[in-house]
Amino acid sequence: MSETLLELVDLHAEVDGKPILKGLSLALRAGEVHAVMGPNASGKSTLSKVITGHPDYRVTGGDVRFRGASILELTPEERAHQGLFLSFQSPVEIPGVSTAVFLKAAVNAVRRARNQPELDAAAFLRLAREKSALVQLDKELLSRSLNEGFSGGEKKRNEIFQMAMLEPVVSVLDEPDSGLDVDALRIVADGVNALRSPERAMLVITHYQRLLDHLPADHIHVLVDGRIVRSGGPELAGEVEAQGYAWAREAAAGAAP
Amino acid sequence: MTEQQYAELARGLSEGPPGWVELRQGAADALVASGFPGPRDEAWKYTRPAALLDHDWAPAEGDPPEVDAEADPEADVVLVDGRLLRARAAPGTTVESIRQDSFGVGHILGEDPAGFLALNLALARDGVAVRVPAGVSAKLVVQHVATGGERLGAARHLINVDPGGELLLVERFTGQGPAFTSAVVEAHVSERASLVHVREQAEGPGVPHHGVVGVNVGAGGRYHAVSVLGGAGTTRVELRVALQAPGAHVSLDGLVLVAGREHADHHVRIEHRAPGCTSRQAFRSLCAGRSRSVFTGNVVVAEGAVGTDAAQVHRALLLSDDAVADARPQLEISCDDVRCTHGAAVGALDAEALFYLRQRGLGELAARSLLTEAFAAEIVDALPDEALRDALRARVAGWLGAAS
Repeated sequence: MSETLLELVDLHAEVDGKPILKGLSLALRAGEVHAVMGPNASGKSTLSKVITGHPDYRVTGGDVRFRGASILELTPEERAHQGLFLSFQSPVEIPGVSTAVFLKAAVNAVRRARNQPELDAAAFLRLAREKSALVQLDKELLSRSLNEGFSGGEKKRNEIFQMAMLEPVVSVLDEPDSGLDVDALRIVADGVNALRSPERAMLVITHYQRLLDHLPADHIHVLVDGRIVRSGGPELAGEVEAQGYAWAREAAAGAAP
Repeated sequence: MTEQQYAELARGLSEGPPGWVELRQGAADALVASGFPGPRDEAWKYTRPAALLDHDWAPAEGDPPEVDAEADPEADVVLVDGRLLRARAAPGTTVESIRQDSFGVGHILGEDPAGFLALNLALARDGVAVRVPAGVSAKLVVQHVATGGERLGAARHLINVDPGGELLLVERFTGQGPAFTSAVVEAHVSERASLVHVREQAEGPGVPHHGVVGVNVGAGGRYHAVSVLGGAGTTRVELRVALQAPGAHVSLDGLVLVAGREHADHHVRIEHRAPGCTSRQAFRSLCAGRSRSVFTGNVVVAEGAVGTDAAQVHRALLLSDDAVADARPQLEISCDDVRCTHGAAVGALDAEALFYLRQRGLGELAARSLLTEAFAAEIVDALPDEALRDALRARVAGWLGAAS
């Protein structure tokens, strides 16, 4: 069986003293794409932030393991160096920081940590040209301030572009579909699909089945109130779409002690 | 030392042409009459005058030592503790020692100086008188070097840009303490002329710094200053600009980089004396450690200055809980039909932006540094040439690591 890349073990986490994740377990093996579906406020975004080490989120129990070792004590950048990537639901705009300058620094920080030679300006630009084509991102955006004045679609494509540049082992995609029309959604999904590989795993967080039509997942998990209430194959997405989350909520209520 | 003792020192300096000596003796008397500003002086509310006078400063004696190791080969004019080491003129312009050509000193900042302005003139050893004739475009780099030894490096400059002339004046302050830098510039920007004035304060610790820049701008003329402060202990720079005839314009950009217990004060006064003039102020402060940044932006719109358009923005980024930034906008408007805006904001680094950058693999210091560079970018980008932009960008990029 292929290697387990990311494992969440009975994970409990809170933000501002409020418990959000209440015992969540999940394992991603190499080559797999998992989807976590859930209603608003079920803990979806918290999950992505806890995995990647956002300082505002406190883990109160359980573990996050990357390739078998706990990463709870690692900083966000150390997790990134190991190969964790988060595609943000709302990528921040950073006026004054050029996308290219930032991304070259990030790519080389990750390469240094992995004992790979750094890219010089020419090599970086060649790679950027190749990878930006993957999501049809206008190369002109590279010279602009990071995400500043980007359209919703450009921001999402910029996330996938960065993912392609950084070559992560495990990618967490937090609602990569939010705010996109169907054409933009297809571009993003095609970009993500192109990055699938037997060595990588992805965790896709979404509210809607629509995304999974374009970005098929091997495993679907339904998250309600900080717990996974159901897991299954791709067909589960259709059930959620047909029945809404109400049944899942009832299932969660029934499962609660 | 007291103002009397500084005045005594000044009276002992008798070298130079009679006109120059007379000016300085007058300033010594004015210093005694006015005294230094006191703690209750409103203009010095947040900066202690005593912090500039924390040693017994004495003017440098004799000829300036060669300081080639420190002197920037690019510098056209080099002053060592206020003494002129060399002065060369840009093509088409004249550059003289102010001692030889002191006519006009005090015309802008006042014939009866007070406080630190009087101290400057009373103890100024030298400076340059620069003239840019009509239609000539030139660049002049002036370096002020402090050599320590409790010396008072006082310098006085006079700049005239004739109609349609253009000057890029770069003043760079370097060197080590203990020393006190007192540097004053008076500039006439004639009609349709342009003066771009980059003032880079970069002395090491233990060099309190006081600068005054007085500028009169004629019809359709333009004065643009970029003032950078930080690193020296206590610094205060006063920018006083009078827009004297229709269509005159001033842009003042300021960048403060303070850490530890450093203190930097930008004190601005802009007078709109004629109709249809415009003024812009963009000041940004980066404050780490227990530092303090002070900004006072005084805009005076005279009666009859219709169509005035004045805008002022001060933004501060506090990088520690103990850093302080004060912004005091002061508008005095005696005229209807004007547009005057001001804004001030103080904040910390955006935690979400920081997380975003770290998630992509940047270390915490690199991420913080990138965000501080971004904060300063508006001021850096306002510099008129690429080499200046690169140098300031590098200074900002290296600053946070050194300050942490």
